[in-house]
Amino acid sequence: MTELSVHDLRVEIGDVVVCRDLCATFKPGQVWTILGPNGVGKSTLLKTLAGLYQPIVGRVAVAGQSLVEMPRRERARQIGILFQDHADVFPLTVTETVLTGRHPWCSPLQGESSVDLERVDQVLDEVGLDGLQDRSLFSLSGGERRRVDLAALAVQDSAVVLLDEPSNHLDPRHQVTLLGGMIGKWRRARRAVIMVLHDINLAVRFSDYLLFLYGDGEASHGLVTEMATEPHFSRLYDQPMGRYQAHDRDLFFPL
Amino acid sequence: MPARRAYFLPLLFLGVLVAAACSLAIGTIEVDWQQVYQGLVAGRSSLHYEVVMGIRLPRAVNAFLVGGMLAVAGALMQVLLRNPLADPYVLGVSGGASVGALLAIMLGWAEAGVSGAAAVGALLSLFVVFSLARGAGHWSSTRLLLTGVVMAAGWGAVVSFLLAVSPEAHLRGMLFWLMGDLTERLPGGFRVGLLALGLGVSVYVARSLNLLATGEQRAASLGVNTVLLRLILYFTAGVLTASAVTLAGAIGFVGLVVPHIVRLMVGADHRLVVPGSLLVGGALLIVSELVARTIMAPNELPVGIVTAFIGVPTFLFLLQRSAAPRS
Repeated sequence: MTELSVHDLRVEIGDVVVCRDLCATFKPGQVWTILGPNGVGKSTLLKTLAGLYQPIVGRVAVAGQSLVEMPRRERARQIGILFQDHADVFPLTVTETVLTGRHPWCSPLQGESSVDLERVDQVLDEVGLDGLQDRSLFSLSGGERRRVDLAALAVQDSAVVLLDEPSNHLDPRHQVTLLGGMIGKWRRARRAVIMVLHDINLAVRFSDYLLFLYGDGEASHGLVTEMATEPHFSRLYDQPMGRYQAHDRDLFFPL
Repeated sequence: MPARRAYFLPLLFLGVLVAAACSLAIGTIEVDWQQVYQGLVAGRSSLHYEVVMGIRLPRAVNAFLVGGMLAVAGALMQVLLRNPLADPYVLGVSGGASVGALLAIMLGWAEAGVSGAAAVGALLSLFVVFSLARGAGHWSSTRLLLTGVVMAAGWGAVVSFLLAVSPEAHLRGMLFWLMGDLTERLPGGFRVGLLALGLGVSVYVARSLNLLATGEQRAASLGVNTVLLRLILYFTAGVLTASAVTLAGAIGFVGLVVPHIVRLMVGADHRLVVPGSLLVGGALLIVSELVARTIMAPNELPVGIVTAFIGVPTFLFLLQRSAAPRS
């Protein structure tokens, strides 16, 4: 499978330096979470990894090939991204929306095949939206709409999966079973998963690696076991953090 | 749902044929079906030939072309601007055409000159808005919409100015042009080709339109060249609108409402919305033209008024029906 790597990356947005001299390799089967305070450019970094935002310096490569040299279609087969929010203008149905995830795999004039439709039905079943196939997007709740986006990403079958705040709008059960289940599936299928989360405890629970963005261009990353400590989180968020142990888990909370 | 999708376009096509047949057969001069047929195939000397081939057929064909062009342009514009209220005229194309046409009428130019001036005005407006919206390189939907709306308002002021200062003799002609009117000359192959090209391009990019409608960044992440796609949308919609306006004046309402009527009938998949808009827009204008010349015969109404009279209730009915709880 395919790994995503960044080399000497410098990303800026407005006056904010998101990162400088960032080097990292996101390997197949690894789950990473980007953490940092509001406005440090977590989403911007994620878009840079998707090839949708251009770094000032450095390069992002998938399977050794730089994203800027890669044809869009090929890039879309390699990298899929879930955006933080959505802006629906016209009421596509649930099935139609999820089918858009198959776009990189369909030729321009050929419609989606019955194989694509079966895949969509299967994934809709997984995300618990079975039976809502013909419902209009406008009639869905926030959590259901989020699960439609997750389903569209799942049918894209990309080697690298980027998730911007995937737990938004999901209730605790869906956060843990649905999102956790999907991440586990991606891990077993040897995808590289990189996400942005605000919930430290979900990040610690789901990830193998954490990447911290401090807001001044500095970044650090490492294994969860090394990174998830009170001093590290306190420094990252500029807020004293405490730790509490229960049910064999470390839970972090602001003091 | 799939069955409904499969029959949708053929049924609409049938509707267009029925509308066209009615348009050929009905009018102030009584013509029965057999005479319509004879008029279409038999000698050119008969009165029926004059009525059917000389007047009604060209007007029906023009009506279909103009309605189809405006409706497809409207569907594209709504996706480009990510705004359900967008119509083909919102970016000032018709304003530019109107100013060109009114100037030509004031100068006493012949019909061909008026059309030419309208085309120049429309294309001029298209390029000015594009250059201004493009500005420093960004052209977000919002910026494009603002630029176009302001440009359209500017053209509107010039139109009012021209109406205010023009001599009485030209006023009626100018007002009819502004409200939209169909000519009795068969359209050249150029216009038919434009519509076919516009439709072909739109159908080719239709799946990408579905993606663009779910967000520009998302479309880009799925492999769509959004910069190119938006350029294609802008110029396809612009040229179709310019062509329609040049042929028939600024017929309102079709471009705004027909795409919505189609969406309410069959959903928002643009692979059906684009060709469906062409057929519904064409049929709506054929019927409007028929009503315009028969309802107050021998007086004739501007077609643009009738499109609104037919389109508004149809749209409101469909909207009411779709708002009802799902069964």
